[in-house]
Amino acid sequence: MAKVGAVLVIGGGIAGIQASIDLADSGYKVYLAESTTSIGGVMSQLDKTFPTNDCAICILAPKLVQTGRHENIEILINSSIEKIEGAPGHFKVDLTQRTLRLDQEKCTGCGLCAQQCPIEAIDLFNEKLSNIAAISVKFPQAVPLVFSINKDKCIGCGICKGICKAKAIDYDLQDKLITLDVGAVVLAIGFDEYDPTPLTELGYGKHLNVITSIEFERILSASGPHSGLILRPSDGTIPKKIAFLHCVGSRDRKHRKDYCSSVCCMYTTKEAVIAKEHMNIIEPTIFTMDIRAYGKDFDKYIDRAKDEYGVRYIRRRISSIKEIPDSKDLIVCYETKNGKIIKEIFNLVVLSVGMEPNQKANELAQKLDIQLNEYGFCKTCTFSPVETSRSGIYVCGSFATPKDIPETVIEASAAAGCVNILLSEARNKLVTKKELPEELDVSDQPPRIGVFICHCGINIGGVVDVPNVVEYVKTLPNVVYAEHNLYTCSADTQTNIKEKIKKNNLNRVIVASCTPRTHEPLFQATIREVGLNKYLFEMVNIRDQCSWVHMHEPEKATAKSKDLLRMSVAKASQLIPLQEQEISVINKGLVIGGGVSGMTAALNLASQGYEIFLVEKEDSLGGIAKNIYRTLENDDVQEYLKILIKNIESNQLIHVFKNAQINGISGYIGNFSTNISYGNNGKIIDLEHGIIIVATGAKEYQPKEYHFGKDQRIITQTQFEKDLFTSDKIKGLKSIVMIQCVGSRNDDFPYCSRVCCSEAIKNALKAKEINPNIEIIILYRDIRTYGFKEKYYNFARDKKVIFIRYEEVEPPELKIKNKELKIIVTNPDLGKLEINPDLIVLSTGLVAPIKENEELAKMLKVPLNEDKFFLEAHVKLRPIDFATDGIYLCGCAHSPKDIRESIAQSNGAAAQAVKILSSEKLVTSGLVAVVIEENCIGCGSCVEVCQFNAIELIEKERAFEDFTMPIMKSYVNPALCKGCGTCGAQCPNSTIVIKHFGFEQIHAMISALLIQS
Amino acid sequence: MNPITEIKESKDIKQKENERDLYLRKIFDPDLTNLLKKCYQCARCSGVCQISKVQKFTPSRIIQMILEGFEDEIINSRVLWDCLMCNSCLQHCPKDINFADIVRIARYKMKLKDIQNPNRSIAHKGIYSLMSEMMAQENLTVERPLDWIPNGCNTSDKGNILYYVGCLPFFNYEFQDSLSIAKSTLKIICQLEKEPIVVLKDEVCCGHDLYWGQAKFESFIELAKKNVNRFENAGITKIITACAECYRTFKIDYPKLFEDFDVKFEVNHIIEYIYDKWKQGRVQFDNPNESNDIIPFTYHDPCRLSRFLPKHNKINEKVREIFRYLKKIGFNFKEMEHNKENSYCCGVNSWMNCNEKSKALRYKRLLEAKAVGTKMITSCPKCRMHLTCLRNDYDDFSSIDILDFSEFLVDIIKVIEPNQSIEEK
Repeated sequence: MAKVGAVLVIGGGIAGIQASIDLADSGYKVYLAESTTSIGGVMSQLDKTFPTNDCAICILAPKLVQTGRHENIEILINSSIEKIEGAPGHFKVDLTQRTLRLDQEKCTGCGLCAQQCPIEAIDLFNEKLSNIAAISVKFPQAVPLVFSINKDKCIGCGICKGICKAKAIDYDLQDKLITLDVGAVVLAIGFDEYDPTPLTELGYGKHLNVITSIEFERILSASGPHSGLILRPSDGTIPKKIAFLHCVGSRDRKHRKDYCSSVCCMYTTKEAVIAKEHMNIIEPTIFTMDIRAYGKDFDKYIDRAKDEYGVRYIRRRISSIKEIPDSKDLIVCYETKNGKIIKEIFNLVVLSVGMEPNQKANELAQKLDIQLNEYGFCKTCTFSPVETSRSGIYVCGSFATPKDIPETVIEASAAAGCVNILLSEARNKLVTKKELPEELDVSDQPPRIGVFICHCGINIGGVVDVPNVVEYVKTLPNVVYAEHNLYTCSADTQTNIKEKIKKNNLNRVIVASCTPRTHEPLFQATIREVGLNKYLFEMVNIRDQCSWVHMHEPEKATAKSKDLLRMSVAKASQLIPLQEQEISVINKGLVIGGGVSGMTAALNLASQGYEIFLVEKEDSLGGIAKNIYRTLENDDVQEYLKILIKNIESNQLIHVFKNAQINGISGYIGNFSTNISYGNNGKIIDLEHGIIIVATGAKEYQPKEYHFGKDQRIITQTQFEKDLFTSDKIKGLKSIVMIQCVGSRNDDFPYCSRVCCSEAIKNALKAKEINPNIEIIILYRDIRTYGFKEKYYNFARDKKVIFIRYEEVEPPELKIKNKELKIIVTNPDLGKLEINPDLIVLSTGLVAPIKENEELAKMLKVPLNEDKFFLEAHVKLRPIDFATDGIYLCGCAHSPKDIRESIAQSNGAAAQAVKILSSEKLVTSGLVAVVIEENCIGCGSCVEVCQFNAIELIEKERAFEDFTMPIMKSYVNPALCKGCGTCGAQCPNSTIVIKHFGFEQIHAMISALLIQS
Repeated sequence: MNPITEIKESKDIKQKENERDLYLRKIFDPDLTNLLKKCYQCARCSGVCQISKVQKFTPSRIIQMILEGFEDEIINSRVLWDCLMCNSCLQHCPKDINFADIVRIARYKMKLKDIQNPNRSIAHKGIYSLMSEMMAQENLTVERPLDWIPNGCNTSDKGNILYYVGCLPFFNYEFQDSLSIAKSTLKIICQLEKEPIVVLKDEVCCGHDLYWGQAKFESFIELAKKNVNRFENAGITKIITACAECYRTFKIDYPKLFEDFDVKFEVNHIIEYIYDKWKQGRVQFDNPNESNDIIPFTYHDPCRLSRFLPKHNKINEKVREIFRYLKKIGFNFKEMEHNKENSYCCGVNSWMNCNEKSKALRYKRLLEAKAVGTKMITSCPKCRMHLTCLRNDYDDFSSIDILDFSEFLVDIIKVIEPNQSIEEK
């Protein structure tokens, strides 16, 4: 039975969105089922994101739009899964799509109905902090932008039905049953925020000024209930003192939440920082146990919060909150460092609620026949992090474990990468390519411009006098046709536009409506269907820029619409057709690094039939995993590694080059050429390939501290692990001290190495298993056993492993006297302690191979971060890509991470790479920068500013009457150019032209503006 | 309806326009044939034209066409934006036809035509000519940073002697070390003068580039008026500059607008100033380096200090007299193949047309420099800037040290106190 080239993605949060885009981009039909009325998930509710403080919706919205208009993605909003049958490759899934009580196809999202609706409902998007009409859209940037009627609130008055110009509203529409044939299913149903009502001691629900972190997130948001003003619920005043309480619904055995929610430490810090940014008088205090800033650049963020924003951290969890009856302020009791109990009054308390399994997880698990773990999250294995217990069904995001956005995005790509392995033979089977007529040659014709102006219901038409603007436009030069439409974007108007183009021999088309970001591709496709080059289209935004901003000034809005159209007509007269080039793709890949990450990525791609060159600098494969015997969860790493290496070496499509060194890399996406020398004799070979995956890993820090290397009783965790698993050396020992953060979180290496806490606990547990009487003391700064790793921290405590905290300013001291080891540690609460261990184990961090990374980064022309790890294109939403196309990143080369996370990122990198490898040709945009060579003096300033490495200097020779001169000329590679225009702005000679935004075109627009109408 | 283009009619403006026309007539003669009629078509100009060595450009043909009534064709062809305005042609013209001046006037006519937008030909995105134009605005007061003034230099905002700094502080953002010219010059002057030297905080551009390059005569006139006003208010009688362009503008072009300019103000280039002091016995030269190596160096004559000055101005002889003297202290002056009035161009005039053609001209110039010396001295900040730009692009030329006259002299000049010199005598 042939496999079906379609995938069902369940859940439209950032995980589902990313998985859908990745799958749709690599040739599968994707159904994206979302339970609410818009995709976007929790990320759309967030105000900012850490550690960059990017506005969440600003970076998410482009992804929403991309998903919404992707020709291979069908979004099924308001739907839920009923039943699944079949086997991997061919499932049959039944879904119910609940009625919106209006026709989704007809609704244009104009919003007239919501303005007129007399009934208010509670706004769930704003966490019940404000109200919304009973007919509403989830949030302004919702995708798809369709309204829906709240069945419980609607009184059926019929106002909306009467006013809807698109005739979309139909109260009687019934739920729909949909049956889909898909090859695989990806679960991305996300999480629910913990409801703190049962924790009566915190008084949530009882005290007005105790709120949850997600509620606070909405209060911070500019689109939130107070437009970004921070006002507390009881009296609407600004809370000067805000307390944030960590671990509410996390790390709490009593309430059966003994895992760590992984994200709260960071998001709380972000909320504190943003609150301070919004209103400087606010004094945020965070009550915490450990500060778990284990991700890339997270510790730096915490430092900034402390130093720059004055966020106060107090290492206490709060046991009770009392309300002062009159002021509604809150009294918080806690123990100070010196053991005194004090009471502090706060104006607002924010509970940093943890993540708990989606409330529908259980029901869904039963329907899909997949297993959940002990906490109710989806069960996965270390070595297959995105596979559920049922073959052909994959999982990603926080349904698998609590995690932040970048890791969610990584896993989403990983899920797509694993679907690729299953379904690659069915790729491109269900996606259809449109047949287009040949392009008309209009180059000799004088401009004949057609203008279509949209009322957008009353969105534009209610303010701008559209018919008047049409009459005005008709008087402008080169305009041969103009009309107005109720909705220019509707399907019937597209047919109408095409007819008008033919009838009037139009060769330039202008639409004046909403934003080009969402609608330009639609109109470009329309004019292309009748043979016009898509760059002969111009769009004018008279909604955002006229009817919205001048809502109360209709005359001015109309006048401005005319001005904008006059400019646009002037530009349209200057438009020229642009050609998109096709570039061929070498369907082979280069993977740099033969550790677990590199091998996983190579196997993923090879299993889809692509030839892979795997280069490894050492003489054997395996990388840093060669030193790891078991994971914290007790999975056998060596056994896994053995199988992995066997699979690599037996795969005909994978060419392994050991002892290899890269001498040079040239070319660009689709067409790279890499020169390597390899083997014992340094044989040299040129490899031709279309993509590059960087999986160069990290290495263990070799300590200079604590007499390391001078005394055999002072070893690293790696050596200790080897001793534990391969010898009985520790049997005779009585006492072991482990010191955490050696070579991490200090001035030289100011980041957390993420894995050392787990390493220490893993080895401590193993040691206790071998010798239960052994005393193990772990000296730590914060125990960072995030997610389900927390379980093993609890185990260790249960097994009487002793944990003693120290602070960065007073690290443990080692003294050796008469061959006796003595550790002096200062605990902030208890003071100085002395320990006499038999063995000292240093938990050393992971560091980037600085020299190698710098050399490779230079060859690849990609950036490194301050810590010399490779820097991805965007820390939040593009954690696998580089800004330079065709180069991807995975494993510890990105930042320290464990095996599970490395495997996920490697499959994700493979999913990105396969988008290129699976395409026969890449099409460049016509909208690129071009150098007018004659005027270029080769100064190179364009090369410096290009973020995409699209520009290079090429040496040419110029011959004159009596001499010749070598001269550098800049060249823009259209395959890499994104048309951003930075080079054009930089060029001192104005000799770089951005096509479609050329000097003459912009000049024409400005001239048209200045000419009196 | 459109406020940008709406200009209110008022008496005030009318009056100003009349005044401006008065000045404009002094520097703008609309009848080109008037200026060209002497030409008898020997075509020597085309033979020596520097730009014609790297692109098609024939002054004689252009003159011929204008004289025969095809002025409009020339104006519409945009060809005159390409002229280097180096005046090599004038140097060889038996009839002394000042072609650069004709191009200047023609450019004004070209600019009046809407399609003749020169903006794309202005290098560095036109930022410097834009700044000049902004300074010409009536209501705009410039406030220059003066923190570059070296320690120990006694400066003031009123006095007799002005050091006119010019564009150097603005150039310094894009062209490293431009300010070192200003620092060197001011140091030298301050060592030689007892009274404080005037450096104006509100100094405006001399207008040279707007006059020659972009043909924005109205702004040039405004700048000139502002300058004269400031000089008078500060009580200046003597202007010293280190810039070839400012020098030419004050020396030749301002007196065209204000008849008494050269009566009111004595204009000195730093070369002349030092030359005079040297002749007065106020300065000596001394090589601070102990080594006995002879350093070969050469001098690049800026067009504004050679072909653009009247024959009686001997500035390029004066500078050579100093240079030849320096042989005594270990500097061996050598001439490049093309020198003085025949000097090659640095490739760009008044920010117009920096492209591969102008780069080729610079390349040619540095080939000559490399053949004779390891140091190349010039006395125009823009020549220094342009030639340095090319030097930095080619490893072949990296051995050539390009310096301004002041930068070169500041280390070897030795001031002799007046009574001291009397004693020695």
